[in-house]
Amino acid sequence: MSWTLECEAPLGRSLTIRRHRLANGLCLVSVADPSAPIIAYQSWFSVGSRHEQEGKTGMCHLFEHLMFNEMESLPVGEFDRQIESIGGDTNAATWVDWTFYRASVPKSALDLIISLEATRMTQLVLSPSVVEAEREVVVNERLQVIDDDIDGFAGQELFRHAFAKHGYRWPTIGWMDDIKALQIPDLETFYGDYYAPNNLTLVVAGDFEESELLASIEANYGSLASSNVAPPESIPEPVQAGERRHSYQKPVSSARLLYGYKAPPQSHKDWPLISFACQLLAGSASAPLQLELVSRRELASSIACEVMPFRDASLIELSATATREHSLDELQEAIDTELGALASKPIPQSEVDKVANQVETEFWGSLTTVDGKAESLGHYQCVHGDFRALFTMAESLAAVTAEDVQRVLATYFNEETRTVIRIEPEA
Amino acid sequence: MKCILEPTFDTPLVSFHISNRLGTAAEPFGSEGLVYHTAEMGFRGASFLGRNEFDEKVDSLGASLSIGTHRDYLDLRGTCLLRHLDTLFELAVSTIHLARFDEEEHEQLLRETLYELDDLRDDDASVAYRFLNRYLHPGYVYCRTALGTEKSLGTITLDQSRDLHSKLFRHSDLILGVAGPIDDARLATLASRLPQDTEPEAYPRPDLTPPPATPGRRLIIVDKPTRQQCQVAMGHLAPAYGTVAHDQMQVAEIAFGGMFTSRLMQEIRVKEGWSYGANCSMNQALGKHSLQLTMAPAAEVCPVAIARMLELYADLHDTGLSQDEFDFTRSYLQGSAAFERATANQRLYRTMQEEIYGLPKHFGDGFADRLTDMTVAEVNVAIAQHTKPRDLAVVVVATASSMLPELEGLGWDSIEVVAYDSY
Repeated sequence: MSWTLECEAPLGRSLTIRRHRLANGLCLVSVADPSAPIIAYQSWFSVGSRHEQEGKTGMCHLFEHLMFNEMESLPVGEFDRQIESIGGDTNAATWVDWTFYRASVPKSALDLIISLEATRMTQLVLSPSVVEAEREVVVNERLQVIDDDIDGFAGQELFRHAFAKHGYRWPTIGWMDDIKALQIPDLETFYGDYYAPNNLTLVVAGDFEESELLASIEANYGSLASSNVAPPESIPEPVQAGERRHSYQKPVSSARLLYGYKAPPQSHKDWPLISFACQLLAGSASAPLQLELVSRRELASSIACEVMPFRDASLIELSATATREHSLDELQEAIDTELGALASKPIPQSEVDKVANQVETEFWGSLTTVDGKAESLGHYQCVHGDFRALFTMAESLAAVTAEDVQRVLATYFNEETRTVIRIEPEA
Repeated sequence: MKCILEPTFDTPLVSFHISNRLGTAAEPFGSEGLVYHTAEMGFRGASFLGRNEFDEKVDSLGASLSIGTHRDYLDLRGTCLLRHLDTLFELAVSTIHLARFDEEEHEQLLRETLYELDDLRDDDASVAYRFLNRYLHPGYVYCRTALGTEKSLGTITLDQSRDLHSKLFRHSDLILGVAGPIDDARLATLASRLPQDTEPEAYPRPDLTPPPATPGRRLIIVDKPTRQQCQVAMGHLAPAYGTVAHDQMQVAEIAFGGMFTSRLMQEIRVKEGWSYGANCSMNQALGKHSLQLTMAPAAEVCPVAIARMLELYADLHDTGLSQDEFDFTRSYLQGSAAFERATANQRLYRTMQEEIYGLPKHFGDGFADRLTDMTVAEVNVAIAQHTKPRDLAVVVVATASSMLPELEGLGWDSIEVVAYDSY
């Protein structure tokens, strides 16, 4: 066999994760877990909406849909039919830095899923009728998740205004006009460039024999040619000078407020500290923002804070929904006051200990299922180039101090470099 | 009390559930939201801890603790690292037996439920489901909102809630389930911490007999401004969980709209591109509950998409499944069984459901075997008997001024237009 074992790492008490690579660049991250007779098989392509260009946004996502259709050796529908006939389930997701295809199949279907996934890497047929039908589906999906969904719309506007240059500024699903205009030749070029073994990480978790897995993957993918895929371009954002604020009136029952603060890439040493700070601010009912704004003052019905796990410079998203008795101005003033106070005084050690417990619980919770294991490993391998970043992230989170939190609050939760989206009910 | 353990030593996480056998179906008509309110009040101060102190205790453990309100039962559930199990369990027990029922918290929870209603109204799919449930089978205990309405919430008193709470968790009705790295002895210790002497007078059990159904196809347009897309939900009552008919209808549900290769997805999404999803699903409940069909077409194709969905459903009723469809669906269901019991939490959920619904042990896992003996003829008899394509409620969340003229011609027995924030 022509596999190279690159590294391995323990997972929990009894499992081992291994990373192998084929000569054509294909990367395999696998973890044998015999606890149930099932397998999670995921194909992570290092291409996301950030790789698109103005005027052709939504290409990655539309292409993801098309990957479930006709192939040279399989008629339309046969891919899904073969998986569902044995009780399996398949789906996919596209985001800014990656596209991944997931299948959950009984252990007896390992060879079948490997063969099907390898087939659609080279045999996809992009016929006009299929592309048009799938385009309509995506148009409807966009209506559902953005145009007629207030939270989706608010998120779209936040990223559109927070980023001036980077491809993170358009929605992964694409602008409606672009979706309607994407052409088959563009899709064919995209397929050839990005759906190549050297741009793919396979992640397999579940009940399998490693030797059989390696042999079957090599037999199905080993002859695929690598492509000259360009390394992702990291377009630096110009320094933001002053707050950007945009207001909208919509037919909603509750007013909404979104902040976007500039943040570093997920691989930056401050990213886990910011993630920790977000959890500390709003991640539980007793977190300061929840306690003060939701429970004590009833200014907001909900509030949340998270930092995006992006490959390039990212965004901290703080969102809040106002209660019917209070205005967005009241809510915004209260949030700003709370954030200012938290950044200017020492964080109690008890708050840090609390969040440390929460992130430890979340870490194990995300690894409970074979799908969860595969998804965590796939993200870190794809975005960081090494699945072991999952564990260094956990170690970094466990080592956060009160001083760290205070520093990142003062550094990154900066009104001068934030974007504000306000949504209010129509008169 | 029944105790169930699903041991697993893969991670240091442990989950527990404490369930009773009484849910929202038991609340009086006009008091919708009472059970939800009462269950939540347990978390608004218990023992010597006020609401915020209680939250602080739970959060400091990195744990989650909440209560799910269902039609037939409540589910008090917690998840934490093993080292925090005793502390979290003690907090959970306190919500059952030491809830404080402060007036101030009662008032605030009622306000917060109204905020939840506001949030729900901003999500069209949730609005469609809420109105379908209302219009599906009026007068039936299941066809009411668990969250309540502005009107019903206004009638809930602290005394009423406190009285209900004292009767919700009878020791003999409780089911304790744990999944995690513990043994039987530890389970027994946990069980012993649930007070043994709580056998209050039983709360009246709900009457699960549906009143006579309203015949005909009923269109309900839930009017919301400037919708570019319509959320469509239609349905009627279906057999109770645990019956032979429910097993048979489960095959019909999956074949018609439970897989990507199902009829609805193929006809509505794959062939026409009208909707991102087009699905059929049935609820599990002690009594008859709903079978519903859902999709979200763009406004301009909504009439033709509804017409097609109704036509497909009528065809299912009239002709049933083919042998190929039946065989394929059976194979899918038997193959997918492994995914529903892959983790200790999933296995615990299965076993607890069997207890709650009074079903034989391994009833859930036994579905795959029962399928082996099932025939397409039996399923088609069930389809003919239990699908009602000409007697169902069709809810469409849309902008009524433009959608009503488009839908009027589809042959309805009644049409009603209601505001999205009217319920």
